[in-house]
Amino acid sequence: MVQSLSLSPSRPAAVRAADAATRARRADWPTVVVSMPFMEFDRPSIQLGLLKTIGDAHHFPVRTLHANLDFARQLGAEQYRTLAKHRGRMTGDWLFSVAAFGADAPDPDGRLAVDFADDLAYLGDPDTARELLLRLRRVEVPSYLDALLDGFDWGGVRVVGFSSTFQQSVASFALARRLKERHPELVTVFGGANFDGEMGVELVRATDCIDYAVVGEGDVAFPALLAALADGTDPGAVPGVARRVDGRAVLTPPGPPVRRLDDAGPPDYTEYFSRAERLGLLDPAAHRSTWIPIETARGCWWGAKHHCTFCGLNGTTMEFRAKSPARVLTELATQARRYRSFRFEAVDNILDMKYLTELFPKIVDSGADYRMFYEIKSNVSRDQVRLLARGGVDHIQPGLESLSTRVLGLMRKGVRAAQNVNLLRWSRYYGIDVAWNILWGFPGETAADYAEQAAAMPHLVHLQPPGTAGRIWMERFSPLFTDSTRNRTLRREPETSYRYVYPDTVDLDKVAYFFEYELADALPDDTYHGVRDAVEQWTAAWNGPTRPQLTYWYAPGFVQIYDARHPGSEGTYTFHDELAEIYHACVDRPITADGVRDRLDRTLPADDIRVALREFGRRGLMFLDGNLALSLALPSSPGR
Amino acid sequence: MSGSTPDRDEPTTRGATGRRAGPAALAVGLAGVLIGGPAVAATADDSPPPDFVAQFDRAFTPGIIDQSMAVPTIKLPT
Ligand code: SF4
Repeated sequence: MVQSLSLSPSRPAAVRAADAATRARRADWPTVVVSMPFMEFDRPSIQLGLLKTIGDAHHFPVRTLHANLDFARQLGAEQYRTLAKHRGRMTGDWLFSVAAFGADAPDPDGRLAVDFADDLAYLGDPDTARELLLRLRRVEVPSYLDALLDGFDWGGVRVVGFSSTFQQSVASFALARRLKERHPELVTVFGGANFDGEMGVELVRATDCIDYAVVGEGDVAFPALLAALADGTDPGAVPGVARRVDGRAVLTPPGPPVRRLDDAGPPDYTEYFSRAERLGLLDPAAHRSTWIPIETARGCWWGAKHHCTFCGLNGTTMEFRAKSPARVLTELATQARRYRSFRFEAVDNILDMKYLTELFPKIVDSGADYRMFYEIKSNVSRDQVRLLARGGVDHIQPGLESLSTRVLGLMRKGVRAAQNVNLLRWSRYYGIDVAWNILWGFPGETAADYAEQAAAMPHLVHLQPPGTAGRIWMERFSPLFTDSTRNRTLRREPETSYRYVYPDTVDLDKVAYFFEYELADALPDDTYHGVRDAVEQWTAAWNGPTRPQLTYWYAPGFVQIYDARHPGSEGTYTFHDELAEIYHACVDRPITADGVRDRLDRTLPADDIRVALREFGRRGLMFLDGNLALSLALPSSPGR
Repeated sequence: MSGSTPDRDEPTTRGATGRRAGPAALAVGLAGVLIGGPAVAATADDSPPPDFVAQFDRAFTPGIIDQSMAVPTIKLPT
């Protein structure tokens, strides 16, 4: 099937109709949008790409500047990556805090490296880490900022926008401060996830180098702010814009979230690729393997109904909105052709279920060779996993956080443990990599919830193990954060390392995204040792010389299961007749004994089937979850 | 691996002789489920309860399958 390609950004009618005088005024407002460290350097920033496209559509001359690439080049890819990927402590922000706040910056002597030595062990022993961090802060950061000031043509630039997610804020403040010292007439605009809600308002109040901040989505507010500047009207009156007035921050309440995601054109990543190639971070290859960020939906349709208790991802805009399937098809084709890469990383928080019927079948039919990453809800069926795989999805993050149905209920996940295990099964079978974690620390959980998970894990070692296992973080906007009465929160304070970054004039309660906390009903850490050990063993087994396997062969009335999950205990189970059929009935998805009975044309009483399910479970051949049973083995025939 | 094999110790030990489920076990089942289809299948009510536990005890045969045997080799006629 041939898709019609629209390579030019679409423009809302009102913008298309802008008269010549308006266009001329706007052309006089050159704008640069910047992405600072520590954004990862191996893919472009979707925020920048989108702001450029939107700015262009409104006739503003917007350029992007992936300035994070320059720091990656300066430090070397490995060192930069190490700093960018660790998010537990605010090390990235700390490195820029003297440059951003001058004498007001706390911790001039690098106590951070000593006080958080355990968390910073990836940088070496405490002395080495401290030496490294101080050198980066005192030598590398200033020379990087100088080079940015001198090496980029800021002449004529009137607005500089900074997009900030995770640890990008303080580096952005550092550059903004220097820019304003050198070009006092420059207008600075900040936005991004770090400016959502009261975080943005407090940062505007406390940080001189911020002229305006867009609080919430920028699709409408950012061009409206630029238009106000160009037209000489009050930018602070634009919905969603905060500014300082007499030392106070004033926010004009944001407008409704953007509902028609189809309206904006595809993000423009041209500058990223040329800069990355010029800096030697990317090979100027004819065919690239860069993951191209793509946004096909915003918000979360599940969270809008049942907000998972630990999740702060969607900030103040949970409402789910998705691009039309036709638009997604066009965008994929357009971006692949523009950037010569067939890999796409959807930044969506959850897959639009409509895509399973209206998008992926069309991708399959088109024969396109995309490779994609998506975050999905984990209760998808085998057929749906197969469809995703055939459509090119080879990485997923399924929001899979527990193997206990009780704990999943406590976190309002809307899925059962057996469904999670089933997703791991079919993902392995269809060759999809699954990023997932075991989380604990939910109010109401018991030691038994974790003992059960630890007992089940040895039977699951033929499936992809969790990447990590640990206590839930408290994130701003999550129900765990907002509902302190229900969660019986005894203590809640900003994650400690923020204090090493921001001057004490900043109200960290309002600025922090991560919090430390104590709940009245929290179980002691040793409750989780069994699960933690089982995860370690699972991971070791998975990464061992021979990948564990549990494979079945089926013929009517006959099943053989080859169990090679544990070296030294390999062997084959053989089942005939009704046992073979019972096992086979539980292969596709978790099913009840009554369901099995119906599939077997009611030839066996459900009680007998329950006995069989229990025996399969005892041998680790099935995962039993309340009234549900799921066969754990995978088919020997590939790709069905 | 803690807890990795206790469920399997019993069948592993018993199956160490390589015994498979024999004819008696085969006869226990309701072959009609698949072979004859529902029309000839015995009903649940008039069947003896299957001795599932006994079948499980005989189900396991230890040993590594040679994975290379999974790829069929085609012999050409001479
Ligand atoms: S964890 Fe995932 S499914 Fe739950 S509310 Fe957040 S984005 Fe939605």
